[in-house]
Parts: sequence; C-alpha cells; structure tokens
Amino acid sequence: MAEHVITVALAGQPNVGKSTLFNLLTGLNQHVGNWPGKTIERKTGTCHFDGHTLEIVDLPGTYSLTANSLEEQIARDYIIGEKPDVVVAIVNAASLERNLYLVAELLPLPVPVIVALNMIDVAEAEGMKVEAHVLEAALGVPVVPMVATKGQGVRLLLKEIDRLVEGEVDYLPHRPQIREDHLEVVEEIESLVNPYVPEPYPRSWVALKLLEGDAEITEMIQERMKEDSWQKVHAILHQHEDAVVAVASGRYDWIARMIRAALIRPKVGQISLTHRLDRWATHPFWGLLLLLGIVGLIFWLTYAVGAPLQGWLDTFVVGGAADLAGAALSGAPDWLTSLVVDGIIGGVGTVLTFLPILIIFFASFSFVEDVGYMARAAYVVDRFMHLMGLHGKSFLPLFLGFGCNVPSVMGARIVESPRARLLTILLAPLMPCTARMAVLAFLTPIFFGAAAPLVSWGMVGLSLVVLALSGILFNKVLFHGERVAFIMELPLYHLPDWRTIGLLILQRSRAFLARAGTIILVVSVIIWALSALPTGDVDTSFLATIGHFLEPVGRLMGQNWRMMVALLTSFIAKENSIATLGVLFRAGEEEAQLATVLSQTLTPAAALAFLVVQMLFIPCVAVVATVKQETNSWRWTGFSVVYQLLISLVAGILVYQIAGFMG
Amino acid sequence: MLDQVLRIVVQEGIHTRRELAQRLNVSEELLQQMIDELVRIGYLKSVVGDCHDRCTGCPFAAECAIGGAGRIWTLTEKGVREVERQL
Repeated sequence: MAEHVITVALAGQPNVGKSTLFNLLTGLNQHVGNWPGKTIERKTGTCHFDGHTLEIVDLPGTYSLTANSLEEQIARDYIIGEKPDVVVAIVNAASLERNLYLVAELLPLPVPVIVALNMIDVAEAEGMKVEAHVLEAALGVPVVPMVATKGQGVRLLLKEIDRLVEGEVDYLPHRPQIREDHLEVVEEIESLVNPYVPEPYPRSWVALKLLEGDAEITEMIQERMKEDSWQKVHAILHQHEDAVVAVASGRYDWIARMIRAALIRPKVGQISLTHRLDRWATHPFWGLLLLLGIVGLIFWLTYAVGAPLQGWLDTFVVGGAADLAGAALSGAPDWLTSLVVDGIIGGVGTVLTFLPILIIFFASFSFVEDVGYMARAAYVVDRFMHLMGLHGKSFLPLFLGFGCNVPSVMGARIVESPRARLLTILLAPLMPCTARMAVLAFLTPIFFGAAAPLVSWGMVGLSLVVLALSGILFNKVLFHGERVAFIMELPLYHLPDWRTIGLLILQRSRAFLARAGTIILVVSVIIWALSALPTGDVDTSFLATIGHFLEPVGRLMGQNWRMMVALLTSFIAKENSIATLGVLFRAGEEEAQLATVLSQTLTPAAALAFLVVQMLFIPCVAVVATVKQETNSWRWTGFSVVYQLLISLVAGILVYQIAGFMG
Repeated sequence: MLDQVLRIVVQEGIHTRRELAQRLNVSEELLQQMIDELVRIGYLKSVVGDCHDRCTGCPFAAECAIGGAGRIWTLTEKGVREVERQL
C-alpha cells in the first residue's frame, strides 16, 4: 500500500519566519520552481515525521487573500484548488493583530488551519504575552507556540498536524461573521448564485467575495450566469455597496475579540514617554490647563523679563539717543531737530524697544513648536474649535497668529475643506499677534501698573472670545453649521533643536528690524510731517484736522484725536500706534517720557477702551493683502475688514461706557 | 468595527488615533490597519499627503512647523454617505 503523503501549505505574511520554518522542516529536501504560468518562486519540500511523509508547500507571503496582488491570488487559488490537508498559518506573536487578518481570511476556506504562533520570544522581549491556550480556545483551531529561529515548537507543530489529519482533534473554528444586518443579503446572494458556483469553491465564501466586490470571483460568476440572473445579483450588490465595510468590519471585530482574549499588553511602566506625557497633554481637563499654563508662562516671561528690558531701552537708549541727537543738532534748524528727535527717534526708536519682548515670544513659540507640542495643543482646543465648524488643524495656523497674522492666514492652506479654510482665514486676523502684544505690553503697565499682566491676560482672553464667537456666528450664518471630521496621529515628542530655534528667532527678529527700518520709519516721518505742517504747531496741523474728523467716534470711547490717529496708523503696521503716540506726544512735550504723558492724558476707562479697539481693530495692511491673496476675493477681504472695524469700535464703545458707568 | 470608526468620527469630529483606539478598545496598530483598509476601499483619505505641495511658494515654509504634525485622515464623500446610511 502506498504511503499517504500529507500536504501542508505554509501561509503567512512576509517576515514572520515562514522561510525559517520551511527550511527547518525540509532541510535539504527542497525543490524550487515557479508557480504555473507565473514568475513567482514556488518552493516545496518533504519532511518525514513519525512514519508519515509531509509535502510542505511554501505559499507566497501575503497580508490577506483579497487577490489584490499576484501573490495573494496564487495563495488563494492554491488553497481552494489544491486543497492541502492542512494550512499552517504562521503568525508573528509580536504583531498578532496585523497577522490575524490573514487567519481571518483563511478560516472560511474549506481547509483546516493550524496557527503557528512564532516569535514568542520577541513578543516577550517587548513586554507582551500571548496566551496560546486561550487563543486556541478563542479561535477554535490548534495553536502552537514557537520560536522557529531556535527550532522550538517544531516537533509540537508536526504532532498537531498529525493529530489533525488523523481526526484526533475536534476542528471547530470560530470564523469571523459578516455584520448582522447583512446576514440576509449574504443568504440571498448565496441562493441566487448557488447553481453556478463551480467546484471546489465554497458557496458562502463566494457570496461574501461578491459582496466585497472581489474582481476575480465576480468575473467568474458573471461568466457562468445567464444575463438576467446576473442582473438580479448585480442589482443587489449595487444596492449593498456598503457591504464591503460590513464584511471587513466582521473581520476586525473578530480580530479585536481574539486579541482581547489572548494578548496581555505591557504594563504602564513600559509605555513610551510620549504616551505617558500625552496622558496629561491630551486630557480634556489637564490638557487644557497645561495649554493655558504654557501660554500663561510665555506671558509671564514677557512681563518678568521683556517689559523691564523694554522700559530700560526706552529710558536709556531711546531717551539717551534723543538727548545726544538734540545736543548734536543744537546748531541745526528747529525742523531738522524735531524730525530726528520727535519723528525718527520718537517713532522708530520706541518701536525698536519692543525687540526683547518679541524675542521672548519668538523663542517661546518656536520651542513649543519644535518639541512637538503643537499637535497636542491643536487637539486639546478642538472641542472649542468644533463649535466654530473648525477642527484642530485650523488651530495650527491660528496659533501661528500669535506670532504674526500673515503666516497665520497663509497657513490656512493646510486646511482641507474650502469652507473651513475660508473660516480660518476670516478668523486668523483676530489672533493677538506679537505686534499687538508688544503694543499691549507697552501700554498696560503705563495705565494699570501692577495689574498689567492681569489686564493683558484679559485682553488676550477677550480677543480669543471674540474670535470664538465670530467663528460660531460665521459657521451658523455663512456655512449653516457644516461639520468636519478627522483622525489625527500625534507625532512623537522630541528634544528641541536649538539651532532651529535660534535660526527662527534670528529670521523673525531680522524681519522685525527690517520693518522698523522701512515701513515704520516712513510712517513715522509722514506722521511727523503731518503733525508739523503747515504751522509747526501740532494742534493746528494737518494731522489734527484728520484727528478731529475722527474725534466724534473717538469721544464715544473717551479717545482724543491723537489716540484716534494712532489707531488709524496701526493699519500700516500695528507698532505704528506707539510710533505715532511717540511722535505726537514727544512733540511739544520736551524732555517728557511718553509713558508719563500718556498716563496723564487718558482715564483708565479710556485706556481700557483703547486697548480693546487696538486688539480687535483691522489687521495691518500686510494681513489684508494676504487675505485678498488667499481668498482670491475682494468681497471676502472687504467683509473681513468691515467686520473687524465694526467689532472693534462697538467693543471699544461698550467697554468705555460700561467702565465709565462702573466708575 | 469599521462602521463604528466612521460613525464616531463623523458624529464627534476630531480624534487622535490613540483616543479613538481606546474608544474602540483596540490597539493603535489595529486601528491603523482599519484606517489603511478604509483608505483602500475609499471611505477615508489621507489629508496631510498633499500638504507639502501647499507649502511650496509660501515664504514662511522654512520657519513654519504646522506642516510637521502627524498624519491626518478625513472622510471621503463615500465615507460620509455610508455613515448617513447607518444613521
């Protein structure tokens, strides 16, 4: 009597140790050829065990059996067509989930499966433990733990193959099921195609594959069915286009069940640093608190380090330069002295004193960006962003607006949906940029002394509240509350690269100095000229005429004409409000520090109103130009400008009136 | 479970991959497989893939970190239709 040869097919994903096992089993008894009609290598070999001869067939490595690739098609056709006695599914215990997908596809085929749980040593080294006997019970098929590289478990595997073939094992696999609501459809398809399914294809499997839209099986069945019968099937398939999700869902549910049953994951202590940090950084409450803390710390640094430096620069450097220039120009005409001392030093000089404040801002934000915290911040604020019809991704450009609104508006490009992009562009100019913050940092200590950090916080808070309310309003009125949905992968934290941060500070500081040397210089000179012409007296100058024209609006907020002019010039660049105030108040007030004069000119209520308007006013011309460029629409640009003008004036008037009323 | 992924994302908006995985009581690796599968069958698409092109021509590209965040996926129209059908 001829000896019965047991055919064993080895199936598995690439890099799970399939070749190692094949070599262990077959040794030198290997035969290498090609799969019929294909250029893919076919390896077979023989193995003798316990009086049996096993023919081992090494199937191509595949992730699934969906016939997406030639390898998958070969593996599937072989198992269905040649019906080996056993399929050994080799899985990597260290990445069980990924590997079980193939098992989920193997089990519905009409061939018994044994799972070779390979690389358990690797899994253990990574802190994971797969309980083989539990997995065996959950799968309903034999599971053999192995370390193929060390030859461990190979004999046990052969024994299990033997037992399975001899019928000594009850083979009752728990197969993945299609989602319940599709069970009837599968049955319906199955009954329709039943007479046309050729041997050896399992009918229920063919029905599932048809629902999944498997091209090969669809073609096979369509060829065999009459046109009108096929049309019936086709209509059902078309109607259940979503069945592919139901089928795949069934597999993932099944995998998740197996994993929950048999896999013990590493303990908390072994979880990565990023994971541990993110428990706090992305927590709904602590994450928000952390974000507020970080932003608060940045402001605190600004006041603790930046503001005194700014004051020192203003007193000694700007004041000193003014004295020096005054002395040097003692013989020159009065207008020239006034141009240099009041116009250039008063305007540009004052703005230059912002540099320490800006450097602190730039350094802090670059640091936060560079360590990878930004994505977490985006995620934490997302719940609020949703109310505005935005998602966390819009937060990234908006957050960049703390630096400057121009990159903020440009950054909206990364937002996928055109609607959310437009919304981001409209909201970005409401972010308090460093130039506004610098103006704020300059003015608040003058008016509010020790309460300055608190007032600044309030101003930033107000800007953000207005931004949020505007977002909700735009979303409701303009976009009818459309929603966006995303899944985000958070990048790993990493140590900051000091070179990158340094470079960033350098670039941004250089850009600021360039602005001070160009646009702010020109505006300062123009403001000086307008304040000196035609009579040489500020109060009868052209500028006073413009200022008086704006005064009726200003009066509602307690502002004199000088403050209104300062506001107007901030349209060219935000720092110009200070430059303008520098020019206007230095002129005629010899030797006086801007701070002293200002504090005597405005009431606290008026000062508060000025700050509010300043924070919410039309952004600088560079931002407006960028809004035009990015929206490519004058209509939206005009809308953005008018909206902010109205909002800022209304808020300013309200604050002044309420503050005045409350005393 | 794939339908659950789509539904949760549509109904509740943004999720980190880790948080969504915890919600579904699966590992991030398995969720990533599901995301890949949903991308393959056309229900999700990767957003950040084409982000780098958007940065070309932006004068702030060199000093801007917003393109550097991790991958982001969003629903395709087909994905949204599927969720609407479920609801």
